[in-house]
Amino acid sequence: MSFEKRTCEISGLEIEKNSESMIKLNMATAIIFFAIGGAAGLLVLLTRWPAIHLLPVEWYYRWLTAHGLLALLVWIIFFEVALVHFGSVTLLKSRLAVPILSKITYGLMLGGTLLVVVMVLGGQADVLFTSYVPLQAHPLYYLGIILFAVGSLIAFIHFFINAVVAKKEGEYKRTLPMVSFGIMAASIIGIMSIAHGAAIYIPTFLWSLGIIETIDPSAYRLVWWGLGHTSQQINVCMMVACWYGIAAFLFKAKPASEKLCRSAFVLYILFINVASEHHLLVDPVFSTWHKIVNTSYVMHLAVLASMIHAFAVPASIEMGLRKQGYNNGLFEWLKKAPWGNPAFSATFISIVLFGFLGGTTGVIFGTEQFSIIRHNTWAITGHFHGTVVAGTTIAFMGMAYFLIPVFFKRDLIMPGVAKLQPFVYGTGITILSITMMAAGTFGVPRRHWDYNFSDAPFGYQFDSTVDIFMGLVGIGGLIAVVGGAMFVFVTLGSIFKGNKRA
Amino acid sequence: MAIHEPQGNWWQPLSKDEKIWFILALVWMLVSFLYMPIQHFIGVQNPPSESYRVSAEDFEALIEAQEEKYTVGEENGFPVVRPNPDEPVYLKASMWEWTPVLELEKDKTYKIHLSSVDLVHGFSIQPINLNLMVIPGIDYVVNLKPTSSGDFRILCNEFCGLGHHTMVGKINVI
Amino acid sequence: MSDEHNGFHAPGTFVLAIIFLVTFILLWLGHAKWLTDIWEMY
Ligand code: HEM
Ligand SMILES: [Cu+2]
Ligand SMILES: [Cu+2]
Repeated sequence: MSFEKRTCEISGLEIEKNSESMIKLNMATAIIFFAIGGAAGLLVLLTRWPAIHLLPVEWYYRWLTAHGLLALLVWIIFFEVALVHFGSVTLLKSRLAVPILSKITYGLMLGGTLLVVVMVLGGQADVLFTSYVPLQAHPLYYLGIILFAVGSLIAFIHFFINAVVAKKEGEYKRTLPMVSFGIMAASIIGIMSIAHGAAIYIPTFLWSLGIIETIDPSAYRLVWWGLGHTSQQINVCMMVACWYGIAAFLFKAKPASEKLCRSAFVLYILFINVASEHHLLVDPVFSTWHKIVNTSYVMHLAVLASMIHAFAVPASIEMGLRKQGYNNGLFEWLKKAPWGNPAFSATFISIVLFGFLGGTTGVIFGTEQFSIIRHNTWAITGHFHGTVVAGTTIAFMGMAYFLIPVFFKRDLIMPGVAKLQPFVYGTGITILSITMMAAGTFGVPRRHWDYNFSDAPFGYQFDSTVDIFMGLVGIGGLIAVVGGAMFVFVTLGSIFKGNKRA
Repeated sequence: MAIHEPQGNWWQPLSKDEKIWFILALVWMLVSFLYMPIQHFIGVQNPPSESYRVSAEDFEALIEAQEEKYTVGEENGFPVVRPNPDEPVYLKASMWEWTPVLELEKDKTYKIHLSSVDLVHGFSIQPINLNLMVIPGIDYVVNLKPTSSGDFRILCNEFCGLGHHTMVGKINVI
Repeated sequence: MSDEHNGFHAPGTFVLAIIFLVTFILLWLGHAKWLTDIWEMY
């Protein structure tokens, strides 16, 4: 087939016109919402910092709702829609099969986002992003979420349409390249997760309109986490695909075993869905065996998959760098790696932090008995800032540094700032995550406005070491905010003001 | 390369280091999985799994009956209840209170029935940091044996509206 | 290359992975210990 495309001189990629504009649009939108979500994070952070305690109570919960939604949902999924296009069109040297679908996706997701933000900041949805019934928000809040979800569902389905068209037109013969394979796994998980989303948000929407009488709170939690957790596995899959991608672009790295890595993606698809029940380990209603089999047995096979990737990606980088001649001793390759290239440093930081901060704690807190001593404490918040921030977000940052010159045909501005950025953000999130977990170990609750309990009938004072951790969370968070702002300035600045390439 | 379709036969045996890593990871995953069922047989700290449906009205009635029978005093406007270890104990979560204040004996096992009459709440005993969910309409039966004595607090650690941060209850263990 | 590293393709990564596994196990054991500090419950 012939269609309009150009060859990128940095990467050698062939870039088709329709997908190019959608990738640019989704990436830029993602970064703008990352900025707003980060600002919301700052407000929440400054409220939880006892020395500052910035916001009044209702605004704390509103900005917390906004932070959870904008960062976890909006930034991440807009970026993933860009990756879906990248994996199913650019990497397959193919074309966007149905351009109108991409536009519908974008319109629904943006419309949904705006509706949700207006409802939340307008005080019509003080329910946090989990909206556990019988807490109730304005019907338009649920509608906004549904629009957003339908938009992203169309994007995930579009992956398969593109891939089938590419195969028909002979762009690949037997199987997808590994990166596309990972994005395909993410798209399958995406479709599963949005099926749960429909099963829970549509009844809840009808309930908020008064059409359905009640929603069982326990059933709500079960199905909601079928969405909430499964969608985190989209993020893990996409993150791993980015790791493989950056390793390949920068080092021509080849996974030592395509067999093992692809099988690991299949483990994700098969086992992640039931793992969502590790959110319900200290809930009533579900039986012990149900909890153990669902969350754990099967989750641990999905964890095995992560351990495979966490070895395979750095191993492929090591092999690539050894081929370039850095073959002395155990670690010459690591010392001589291109640490000044933010696409590389972000990727490597993401791999290390995801493993050490997010991965280990995820398995531990997801152990049935250990959940008793961690559930709903700040340790959980520390854990997922290790996965979805230190892991996924930093991996996407690395990918953004690579993709912006390729797709916008502009050089990165402020290369010195870009070079430092992954280290600043990584350091901040590491401090934030570890100290949140430390505070949670002493019982500090998540989603809580007043850690001094001054208006409560019975006062309570945490162990005095906790004060130190609360302050360190604030300091780590501020460093992360600086790192986040550096990312936003460099990327948006490059998109709009970077030196144009031919 | 991971951005191109693999060529030739890519279903190849693993390299030595990958194979060792795979086995180590698999073994560790199996060990940490098996810990969970085994801990149910040999451990003494496990999530309770007995629960029933209960309506808010019925649960309120149980709480009142318990107060009539076992109240021994009052603290900050809350009845202090000293239940009999051989009988069921009721603890109610509501916006934004834990009722009643319980007075328990150290090293005695109590069957505590936990429920909420409005929203979802989080039951969090401090400073020992023991956490469970409380769901409206569900009676969660918790067999609890305090193994240390003193004053304990029950925090709410699931968001339950704007008074969430004031929802603190009390347990005295003597 | 394989001769130099006893058949290992990525010996450096392997060492990092072992450090990771040891950290993981120690953290896990810490939690197993902390669990026993709370009240008895079933
Ligand atoms: C500048 C970086 C960031 C800072 C300083 C920050 C800080 C915080 C703080 C202080 C909380 C509140 C915890 C509480 O009060 O219970 C929080 C919650 C949360 N954050 Fe972040 N965060 C950052 C980036 C992110 C990113 C990039 C994501 C997602 C990709 C994210 C996802 C979440 C989620 C899902 C919650 C939970 C909200 C809830 O409990 O309802 N954060 N964050
Ligand atoms: Cu509450
Ligand atoms: Cu609460």
